[in-house]
Amino acid sequence: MRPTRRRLLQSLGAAALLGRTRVARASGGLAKRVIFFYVPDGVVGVSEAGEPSEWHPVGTEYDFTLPHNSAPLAPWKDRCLWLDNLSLGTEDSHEEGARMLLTGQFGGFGPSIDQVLARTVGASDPWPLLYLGAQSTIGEEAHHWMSFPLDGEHLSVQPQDDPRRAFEQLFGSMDPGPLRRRQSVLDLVNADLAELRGRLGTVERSRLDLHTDALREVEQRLGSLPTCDPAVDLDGISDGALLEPETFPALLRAQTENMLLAMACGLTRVGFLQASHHTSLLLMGRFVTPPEDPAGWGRFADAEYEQHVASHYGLIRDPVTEARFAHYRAGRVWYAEQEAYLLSRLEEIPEGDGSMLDHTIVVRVSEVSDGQTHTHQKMPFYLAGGGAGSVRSGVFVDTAGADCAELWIAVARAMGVELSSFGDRGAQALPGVLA
Amino acid sequence: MWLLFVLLSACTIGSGNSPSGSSTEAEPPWGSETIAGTSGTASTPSGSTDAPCVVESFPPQQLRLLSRLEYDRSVRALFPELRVGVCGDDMDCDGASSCVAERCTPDPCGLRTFTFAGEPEATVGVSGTFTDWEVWDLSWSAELRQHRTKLALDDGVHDYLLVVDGVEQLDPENPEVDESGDFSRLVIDCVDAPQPEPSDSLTDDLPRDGRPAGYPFSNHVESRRVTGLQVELYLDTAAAIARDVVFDVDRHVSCPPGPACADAWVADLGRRAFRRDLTDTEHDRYVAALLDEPEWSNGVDVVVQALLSSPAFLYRSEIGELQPDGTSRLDGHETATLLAYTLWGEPPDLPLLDAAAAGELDSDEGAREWAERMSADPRSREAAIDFVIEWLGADGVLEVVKSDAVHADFDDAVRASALAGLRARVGHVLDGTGLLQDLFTGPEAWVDRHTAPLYGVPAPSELEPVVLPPGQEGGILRDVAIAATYAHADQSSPIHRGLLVRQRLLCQDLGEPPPAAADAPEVEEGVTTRERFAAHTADPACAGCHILIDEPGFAFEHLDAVGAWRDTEFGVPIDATGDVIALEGLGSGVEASVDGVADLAAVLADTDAVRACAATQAWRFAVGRLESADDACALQGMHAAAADGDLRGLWLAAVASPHFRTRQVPE
Repeated sequence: MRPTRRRLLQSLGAAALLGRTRVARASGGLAKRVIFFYVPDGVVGVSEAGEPSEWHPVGTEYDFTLPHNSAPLAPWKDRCLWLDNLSLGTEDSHEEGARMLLTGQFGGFGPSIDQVLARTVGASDPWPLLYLGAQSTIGEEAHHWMSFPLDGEHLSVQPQDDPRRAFEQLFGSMDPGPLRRRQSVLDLVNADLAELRGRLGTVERSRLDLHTDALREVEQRLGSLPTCDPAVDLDGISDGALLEPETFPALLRAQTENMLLAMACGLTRVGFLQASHHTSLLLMGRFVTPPEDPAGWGRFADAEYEQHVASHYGLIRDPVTEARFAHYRAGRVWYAEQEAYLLSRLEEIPEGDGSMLDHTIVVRVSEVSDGQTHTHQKMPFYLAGGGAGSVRSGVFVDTAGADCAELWIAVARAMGVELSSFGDRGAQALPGVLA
Repeated sequence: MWLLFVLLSACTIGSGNSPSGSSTEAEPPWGSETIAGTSGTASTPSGSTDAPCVVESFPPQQLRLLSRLEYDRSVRALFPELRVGVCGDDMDCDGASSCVAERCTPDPCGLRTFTFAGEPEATVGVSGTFTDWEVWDLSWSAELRQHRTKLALDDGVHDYLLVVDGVEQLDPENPEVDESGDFSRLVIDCVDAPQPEPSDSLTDDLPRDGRPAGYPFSNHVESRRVTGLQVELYLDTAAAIARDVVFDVDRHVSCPPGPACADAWVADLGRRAFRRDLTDTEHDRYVAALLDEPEWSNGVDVVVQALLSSPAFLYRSEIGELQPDGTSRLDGHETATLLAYTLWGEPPDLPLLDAAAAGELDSDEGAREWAERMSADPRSREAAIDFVIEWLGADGVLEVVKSDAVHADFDDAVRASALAGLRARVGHVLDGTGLLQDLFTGPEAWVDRHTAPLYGVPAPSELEPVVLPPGQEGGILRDVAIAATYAHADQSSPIHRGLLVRQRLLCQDLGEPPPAAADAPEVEEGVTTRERFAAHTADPACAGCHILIDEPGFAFEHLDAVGAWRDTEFGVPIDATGDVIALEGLGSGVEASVDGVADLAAVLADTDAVRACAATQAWRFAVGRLESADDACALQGMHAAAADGDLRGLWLAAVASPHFRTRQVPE
């Protein structure tokens, strides 16, 4: 078959990639792991007045640049698959966006894609799924959490928000005495649980199944203590500081480290990092360089904005809304810098003939597109790393309004998991994603 | 948290109640719950109670995971003399704390641990500006497999080196070095650092209590499960508690070690932990595990850990026994458990367990008699305060962040005092009339030196009731814990405060906020909050809901972002007037014009819907979920019984409901 222009460009694009990516592809072509990286409250997308997105690439499939919000990712531009016109559905609220994000189902009935992958790809790992957060459980609102384990039931489970605890859980070791006693404890608890299940029959079955599975994972881990002894900077993270806005960067950084070190140690293959939560109350001005005072407001230059308040930057950019807009933009850039940090750390760690990044898929997600309009069209997602050559890189793909659920089918296939359908509208793997 | 800018255009006045009644099984759970929620509370108190009420369904059989608060109370009931974080020496504590007076205490700011992981035989020391360059030894810890020492350093810049077998080297654990790169460097800045205290919390490491939007309490059943990462937190917490128990093993296990003691101790502790007698199988299993350990204290350790990690402890059982009519009915022990956690916030004590074992709770009459006895017990006071605090969401004040630029003084001490003040007010009402309406009245607030500036009164030496300046009273609505929780970082929020009134106090559900509602008005020099929000109600698209929310919200305008009283904003006198409509249900024509928070409080004190809402909230708390259409009969009874506003009567009304101990058996 004669190559069409499009196909030719695609193969040229592949050839232009780094050598190690080709090696990785030769070595199997399945992504080894996936990290979902969640940023709350969208981006400066297409405005109500029709101004262009400040996050989505500008240009054509193979020739594009990154605008203001995503500019910190420029060094990684060609290691990513950028998506345009991806749809999360027809609703347009933060709440429904969070429910649908990884489930593809109206109402957020599980399971979400991270949980599906945990049960397949991650089933035999010490941690089938590692869900870590930074200030994502403040307020204890279950609708802030986006991992849904149960088939056909609406239950979102919470991330571990304390990086000190996460570090201990992942890398801590027990002395032989306590370890042996924990096994005795588990034997007793498992016996109690089995008797209770027997007595209840189908009543509360899903609750007890979850509990039983969780205990089985604990035993799995007891049998395979980590051989790694990594270090994560936890300085300045105290009980009180867990809630303070000033600590947020250190928390997210530490959780990022926990995540990638757990993966480097082979403890998990399915990760989910959640920064804050939708309708974020975070005062990002505490650590993002305060923007210029565009309107010359004097005293109001140090006005503080919860990030969600800032995200409603207004229909018209007038001097009054400009300060809020500036805060929101600065916050978006800061998040892109954190994403770039994760990618750079993955790139630093060697794996096979290349880096960890080469073998990984990082999926950047949010529950809305534009912060002001909450729209669920043109979602601000990319896939980074190429997943050992399973996913295309360095391209900007117009998905023509395809549903996010099809992206999750594609991601699953990149990891060797075939899903015939997913969510309410996912019927095929999103075209243009897989290499 | 609340959404900000809210509201449904469908939210028009006078349109009557939301759809109600029919089964909503096909709908997502929050949908059915919120819709039913509106209907349940809209069918307000008196009048409708004689209407026939057909019971179609009962609450589900369920296992209720203990909330963090319930877990804490349960453990302390098991081990009344528990010393948390008890230790013999520093080795019993983690690296960031030391053993002070037998309690692991976080190291104060200037205390630094120097460590070196080398061979046990090595000689390791530290030498620096703080030792006058003498070499001070590190000692070998076999447990931690490192050489270590702790030194208290003064504020300032300190340079040092480690000395290993006589050779100086940089500290490998400390990346900071001086300008030359030859010395490790520590910069200590402890000015204003608080003196750390040992933690008394048992539940810091447990998962947070999840809840759906619109559910105020920490005990939501469906949202709270044991999964993946979390199960280990329960195991580790149990291990830490067992460690404290074993440290004082003679205090907690009074009989001399041996099989007879194991039998008796397991039977007693197991009964109190599981809130029922252990089965023979369970008893034998735990005793065998104890005696299996060569060391008695290790056996105790295993049993305590396992009891606290067992589903029989972690879940409150509401399964019941099958009845001839096909329903299930909670047995005596399950009823005792439900009564105890509902009325006392803690597990059943021994007399109650004995009563259950003797069959005293088998009849509804017996359960009601016990409930009345329990309601008169002092333990019901704390539980009722907890209920009111969670209902109001006032514990949010502990986590709310305020602008450094405008409210730098709003620190943890103020947050804690604000909450303590509100708790004291509720306690005062419970000790007196016990009437809900009295939460909204009275000339005083409970104030200490941290909150006195916010109330504009002289600082008392300790928390006490202080009469507020004339015109500044308003009961709970004026309290700092409320005003500061429902506000932004640097400005008041009529919307948050209005939603407090509509959703929490009147149980009116306005639905999820609409997407892309207009943005919150900006703080603007010279323009008051009220003027900025006027746009909401001027725009017909927004007015439907915002007229409901903003008007009661405006009544709080004398209270700024941290709950301090103000008479002006930007030099403009505060206008705290509002026309509060739809007081007795969204479809009702009952309305009042108010000026200020005291006025609003007086109106709410006189509103039947507030008392009905309290009953609805009490029912939610008792059953651990938002009500559904199936709860209509139970709520009808609750509303009738609670019409006088007696707070403790709420629980008795719940207990009297035929739904209290009857459960639906799945088909």
